[in-house]
Amino acid sequence: MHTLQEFFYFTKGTEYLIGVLFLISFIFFYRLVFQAPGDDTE
Amino acid sequence: MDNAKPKLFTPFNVITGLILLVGIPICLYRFMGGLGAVTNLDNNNPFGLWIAFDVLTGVALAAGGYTIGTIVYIFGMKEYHPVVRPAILTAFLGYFLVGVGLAFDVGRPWRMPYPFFMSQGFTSVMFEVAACVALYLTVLFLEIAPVALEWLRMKALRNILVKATIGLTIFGVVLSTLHQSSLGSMFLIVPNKIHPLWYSTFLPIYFFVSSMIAGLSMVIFESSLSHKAFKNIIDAEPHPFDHDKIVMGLGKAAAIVMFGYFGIKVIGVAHGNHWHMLATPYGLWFLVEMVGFVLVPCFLYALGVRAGNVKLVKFTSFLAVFGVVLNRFNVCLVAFNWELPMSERYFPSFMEFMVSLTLVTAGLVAFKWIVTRMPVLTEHPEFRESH
Repeated sequence: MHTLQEFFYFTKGTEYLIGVLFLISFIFFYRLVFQAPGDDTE
Repeated sequence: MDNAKPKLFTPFNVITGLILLVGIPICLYRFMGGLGAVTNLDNNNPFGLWIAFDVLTGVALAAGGYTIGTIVYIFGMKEYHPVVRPAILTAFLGYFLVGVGLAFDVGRPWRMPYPFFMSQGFTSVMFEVAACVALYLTVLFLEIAPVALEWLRMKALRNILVKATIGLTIFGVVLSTLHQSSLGSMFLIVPNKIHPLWYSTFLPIYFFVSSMIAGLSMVIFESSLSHKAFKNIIDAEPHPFDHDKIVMGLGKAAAIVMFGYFGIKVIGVAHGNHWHMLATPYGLWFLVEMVGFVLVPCFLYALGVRAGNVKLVKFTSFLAVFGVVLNRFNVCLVAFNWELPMSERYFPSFMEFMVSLTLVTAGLVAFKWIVTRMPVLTEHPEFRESH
């Protein structure tokens, strides 16, 4: 392990981090799309 | 349906007539002179425009058949029923043209039945693609056949096929899942030829998920165009449906799928640790595809749905469809053989363009011929209650 980038690459840290960020942002995006003003689908 | 005598020299007829006039002799020339006479393909570049556009793009854009079929018949969302038939017709014509396009592209088209009858090659992804496309074309034929049977008033046979709809839809989804992803799997055998930003072991998943985007967006795009082009047919329907509501619903679904697709694409870059490549010319082109034609349409869909802006959703469907087309071209042509010098790279010949244009035009003519005669956009008065 020489650099932080290598650390993240070999431990798959970046993928987990992106995965978590993606899931959090997906919740906000879902609310943006499905809970639009006047939407009665929920 | 339309009792007025149709005009012969409409802009549509003139343009399609001219394209077919130039294109059909070139199509014949391909079979008389062989691939070398018409294409710029060589041993370094075996996949050309006909694979990138006619096959890869054609299959992706025909995904509306299985996506809408699933929404209506499996998820039971009957409000989308009015767009089922146009979607399945588009899919059927699309797959039929994929088969025709493949006949142009393979060196010896008369050997196309070989994978089924002579030498199966069970370990080949291409066998899986060939088998699924052939079977799915048959399924689509059976799914769209009731339209023709209603037109011909063959009630008994039509009723048998309508009863088989759910079974056919499930079979269609299984086959589509298999071959949409397998078209991506096909590129797994060339890891050193495709640029690392486009090559990924997740390619089958990318192809499958992006086919859903193409399917949903294509149904919005195609049904919006049909509504303009065949307004007189649709307006004659005694119970017109709310097309805008359908567009909004599909836009919502497309936004969610696009967001997921963008997420797994970013994870793919992280998986390969290719971040440093984003600052190269190929990387910038990758960002154009990912941001300009995935992330931007994704948010435009969301904003369009949120603001109740149907026009924005319809416009976004065009962007999303273009994004999927761009992705297939990038994987098959732009990022393929990226390390070769420019002098050895492939660029389609004029005749290759003309063959593809001729096939698309033939598809449009067939679509128009069927829609103006058979109950695709409307319901046949004698079968109105039996859907």
